[in-house]
Amino acid sequence: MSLLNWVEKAIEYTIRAGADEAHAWLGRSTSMRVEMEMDTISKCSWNRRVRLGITAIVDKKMGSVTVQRLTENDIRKAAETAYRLARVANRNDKWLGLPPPKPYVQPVDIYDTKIVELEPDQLVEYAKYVMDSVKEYDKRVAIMQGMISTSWGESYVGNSNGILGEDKGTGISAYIVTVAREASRIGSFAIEDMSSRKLDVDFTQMAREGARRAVESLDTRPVRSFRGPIVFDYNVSSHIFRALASAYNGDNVWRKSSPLGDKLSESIAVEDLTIVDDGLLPGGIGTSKFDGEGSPRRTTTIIEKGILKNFINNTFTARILNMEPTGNASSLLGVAPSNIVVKPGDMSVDEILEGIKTGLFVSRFSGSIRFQDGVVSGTVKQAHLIERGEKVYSVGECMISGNLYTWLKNITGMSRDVKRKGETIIPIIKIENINIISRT
Amino acid sequence: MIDIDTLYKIVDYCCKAGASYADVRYEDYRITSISVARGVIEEVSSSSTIGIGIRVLVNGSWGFASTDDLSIESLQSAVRSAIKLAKASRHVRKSRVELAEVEVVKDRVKAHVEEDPSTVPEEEKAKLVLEVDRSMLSYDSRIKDTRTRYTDSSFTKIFTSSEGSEIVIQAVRSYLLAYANAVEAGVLSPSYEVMGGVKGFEIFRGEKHIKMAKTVAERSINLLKAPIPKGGLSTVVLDNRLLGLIVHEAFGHTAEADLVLTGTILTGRIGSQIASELVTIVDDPGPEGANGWIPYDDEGVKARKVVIVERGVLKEYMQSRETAAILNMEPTGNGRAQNYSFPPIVRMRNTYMLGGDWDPEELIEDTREGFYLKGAGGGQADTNGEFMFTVQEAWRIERGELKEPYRGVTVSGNAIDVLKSVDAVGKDLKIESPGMCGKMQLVPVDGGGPHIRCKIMIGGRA
Repeated sequence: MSLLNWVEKAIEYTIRAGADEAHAWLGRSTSMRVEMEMDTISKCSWNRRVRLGITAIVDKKMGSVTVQRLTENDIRKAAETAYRLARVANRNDKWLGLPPPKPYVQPVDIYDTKIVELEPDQLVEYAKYVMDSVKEYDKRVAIMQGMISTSWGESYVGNSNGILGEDKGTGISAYIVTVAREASRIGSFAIEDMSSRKLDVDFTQMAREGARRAVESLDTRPVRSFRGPIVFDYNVSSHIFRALASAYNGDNVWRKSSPLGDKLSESIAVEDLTIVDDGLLPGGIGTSKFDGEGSPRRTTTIIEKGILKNFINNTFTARILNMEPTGNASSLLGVAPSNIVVKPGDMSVDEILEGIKTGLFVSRFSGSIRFQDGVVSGTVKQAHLIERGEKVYSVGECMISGNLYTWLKNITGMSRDVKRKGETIIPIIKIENINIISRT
Repeated sequence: MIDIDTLYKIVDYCCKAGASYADVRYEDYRITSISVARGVIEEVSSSSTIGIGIRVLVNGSWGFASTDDLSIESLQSAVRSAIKLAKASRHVRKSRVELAEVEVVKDRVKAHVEEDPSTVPEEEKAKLVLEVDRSMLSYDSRIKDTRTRYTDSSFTKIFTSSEGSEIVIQAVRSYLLAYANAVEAGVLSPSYEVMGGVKGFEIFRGEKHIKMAKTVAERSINLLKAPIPKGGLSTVVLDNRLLGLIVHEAFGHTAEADLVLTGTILTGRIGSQIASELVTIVDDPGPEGANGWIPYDDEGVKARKVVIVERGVLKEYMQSRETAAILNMEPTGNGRAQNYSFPPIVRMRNTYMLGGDWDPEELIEDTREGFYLKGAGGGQADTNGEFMFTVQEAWRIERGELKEPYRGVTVSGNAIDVLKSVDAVGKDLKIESPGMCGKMQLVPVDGGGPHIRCKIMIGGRA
């Protein structure tokens, strides 16, 4: 029996058990990973997993079961349990039913047979190449930890309204944690990562970037407290826009956890800021044919020229907010971004730095950006002091504080080059007027 | 449940395929969870996760494979994958993996539980979660969002190895998280608490969970109008949970031998005074009911208490069999894996600071100026001991009295500097911070300590 047939069976058994509505999904994946520690390979792993999930809805009450064994009997039992659990839940009066079927668009560049066919030896060779490349850049740098992993699999979804879909995808991801040592001096750690749906990753670039940043943090000088502009490198820019995504998440909006709930059509950011949630982005890490409820992925403009245009929604939250679903269901009740695409600016990094009298260029930030009230607080782990438009030296740890929603209105520079960091595609950004607090 | 003979057959198959050592772990988890939001049970769910992890050592290199398909064909295919990976990495490894010798063990352990959650009807569990959620929601009309999540999991783990060890562990974990967010005049004030551990439903038979809900709601309201403090180095009294977080995240990880080998602030410092003489820190597999309870680790090693720091002196690291062999030390039973689909690595269990001789109230009364910091939030720590965490609640101390509360507070610094600055330790040891620790893999841990007084960098407005 094909895996899609198991999904159909699960729906059939759930309805037969007494449910008003039924939703089922099935995922099968295989992954391989090579881990590195202290410039050597420490572990190599291979995993295979299958999961079938069933949700029964009875009088607007919801019960779910997840199982691994795909036999007629196991699935029938799971369907009956889902029905029983649903009867335990409360009636959710906001529930207005499962989504209807809508046509899917086949996304491109999310499956690469080269990843599926990759032999363990080749993955080990990649790891060796990364370790050698780091040393080649600078012998003082070591990889403390790292991993290269591949995965491939299929996903299936269906519901009692007639949704039935199947999709497949591949992925490769890698990260390294590097540190530079010289005599008794140890620098701060640098973390570099990358990911792709195809076997087109640039290990050389990751290794060199990780090594460069580790070396830069070997010699740091203290920084005094001041208020000024900060240029955020890709990693931190990604962190900022991920936090913002929680604020335009329809689930947080209807639950009144987001301060953006009543800001639709209002200006919340500088005119240069445009953000799109693109579930069909070619080769995107968050790209797929359908979301967690089986609705088609699509492209949704969230912020256009600084104006808040939309929230991301599943069918449940969209109906509560009287909006359209945007293909962002992580589950029947949950919402998550797909690919967060920030429109690039028109400046080179040098142009962004130009005109900064005194500021920071921050490459690693450890802290929290709380979407509920925008409070940003944390430690800058790696940064350069900028003086008269140039990076002058690496600075030691300092703290920064501010507010995300004020920052959105204080963006004064965005790079024309963007980078993919997980499911974000983001430029380097410059934000004015941030508190920088010395730790010395 | 799989029979042990099948596991031995897989071990044999590994050895015949070229493994000099092999261990096979069968694990079976049954989980029930109930999610309530704003007084409505949104979902009741159950899941089962069953699978086998196979770890082999071939010519001094590790290979690992896991599968949840327990058919013989699938298991043999997994063995072949593990062997293939071990052989592939052999020529890249700098040195051969050696394993510290351990006793061959045959044992069965079942954790004590008074009331097995599987005997409690789902309706009763749902009523409990609803009660917690609604008590937060009804606390004050300014509380706009509440979420409560109940989870219980029962598990069976069977470990077999080519050395002849055979260990069966059965236990139950229960967990409850309560979250509330108050809103007023554009200010949002989130707050949360957790309770649980290797315990049964008996932990919900009293009023503790209702008190917890009240604490969450009260804090959420109290902090609505609280200002953000001025940043700077300050004398602080830390509560049990915040201390537990610092001890675990900022200090404990630096004493994990795999990280020690890559270079942490504790590398090469055994025997050195690294903290105040008032400080003794242990990683303990044993407190009954603690979330990180393990009788044996996932390498089949009997877990023992590790005294990391004794009266300020660094005594020992936490070890796996591999790190113990490299460092020529004893394995400690800290080799843990998230589940069967991961190989074990060095992990903490229940990590805490031992109590001293101060009443917690005395710590505040004796402080002229500073802050009382309560509850732990998110954050990050590096293996050089540098950390930054958010604090749930802060109160200014003036002449021994608690004054106004503050919100949006973070603490940062270096764990060693903080531990050296400890000048008073409370006698109220509590190990009540159940959670999941993420170091490539998620494992259940616990921690805590008493109230202590030390110096720490407070983050806030400049």
